Amino acid sequence: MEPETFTRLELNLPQTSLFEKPVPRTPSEWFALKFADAVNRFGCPFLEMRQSSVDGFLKITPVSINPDFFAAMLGGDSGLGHSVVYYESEMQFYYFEPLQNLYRPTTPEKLQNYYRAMMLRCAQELNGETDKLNLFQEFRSDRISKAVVNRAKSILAASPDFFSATSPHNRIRGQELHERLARKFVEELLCAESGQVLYLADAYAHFTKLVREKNLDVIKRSDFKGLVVPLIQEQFGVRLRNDLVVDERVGIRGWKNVKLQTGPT
Amino acid sequence: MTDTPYTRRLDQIQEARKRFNESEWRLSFLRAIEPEQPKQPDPNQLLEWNQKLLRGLN
Repeated sequence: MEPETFTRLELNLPQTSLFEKPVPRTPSEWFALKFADAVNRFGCPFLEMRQSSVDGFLKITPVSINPDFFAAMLGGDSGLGHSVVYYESEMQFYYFEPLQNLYRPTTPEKLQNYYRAMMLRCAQELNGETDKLNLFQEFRSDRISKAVVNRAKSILAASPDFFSATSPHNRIRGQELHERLARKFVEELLCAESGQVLYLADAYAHFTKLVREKNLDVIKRSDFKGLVVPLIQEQFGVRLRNDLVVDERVGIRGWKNVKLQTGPT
Repeated sequence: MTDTPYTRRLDQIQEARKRFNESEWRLSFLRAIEPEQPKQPDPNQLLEWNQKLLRGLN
């Protein structure tokens, strides 16, 4: 005769103690101890089934995952300085690279690999009371990993100005790097001086030199114009003129009463 | 083991290295393979990195 078994569905979270380091006893507790912020926001990582028999045996089976928790987990542990965002305007995931102090692009497939690795590590580190079949097989399937990463697109969505020129967040090779450099160019290398003229061609040549020094791609003159015209207007209150005269040539473009400081600033 | 400034520093380096290795393990899944692997920081850099994280300045 089979021993009598009691079955119960549970949402388990670790017991906190001031005196002892908590030891995880279930998969939910294991993840909750590693990603406390995600638990606080999105709740318990798993729905778990506890089966205890009258002869003292216990089995914990994770039966269903909480995709919101795992999507938030992909956002990274702020305690380690990690951050992953989904930049909606480019439909691209970025992760923060602490060694370079900037965001770099990553792929949904790589995030799926990370999710599967965490799931496997949980299965390996927990004791024999945990039923590991779902952790190893079902929850690591392509179907579930894709669903988690898909959910992360909304949970980790960053606003369109997350990487803007005025934002504290830098990323590798983004369009805003030119905008940031253009802002620096206007603020630090230009000054107001009555009677002076800054020609568009000279400004573009100098900016291109700076771009090369920073190992960025050179942008077209029309793109440069699009970047600096509003910045110069904002900084010095002057508009781009199309009617300047140089050496009897007419229709030269530039700004009046603005000077390029080529020496040390 | 006797508690001395030297053993305390060793403990701190060990703790910082553990955190650094955990951080690198997780990041390794997100990084593209580069021609050169990131360099391991020396103990002083490691302690500074850990202190920054603990103060929430990174």
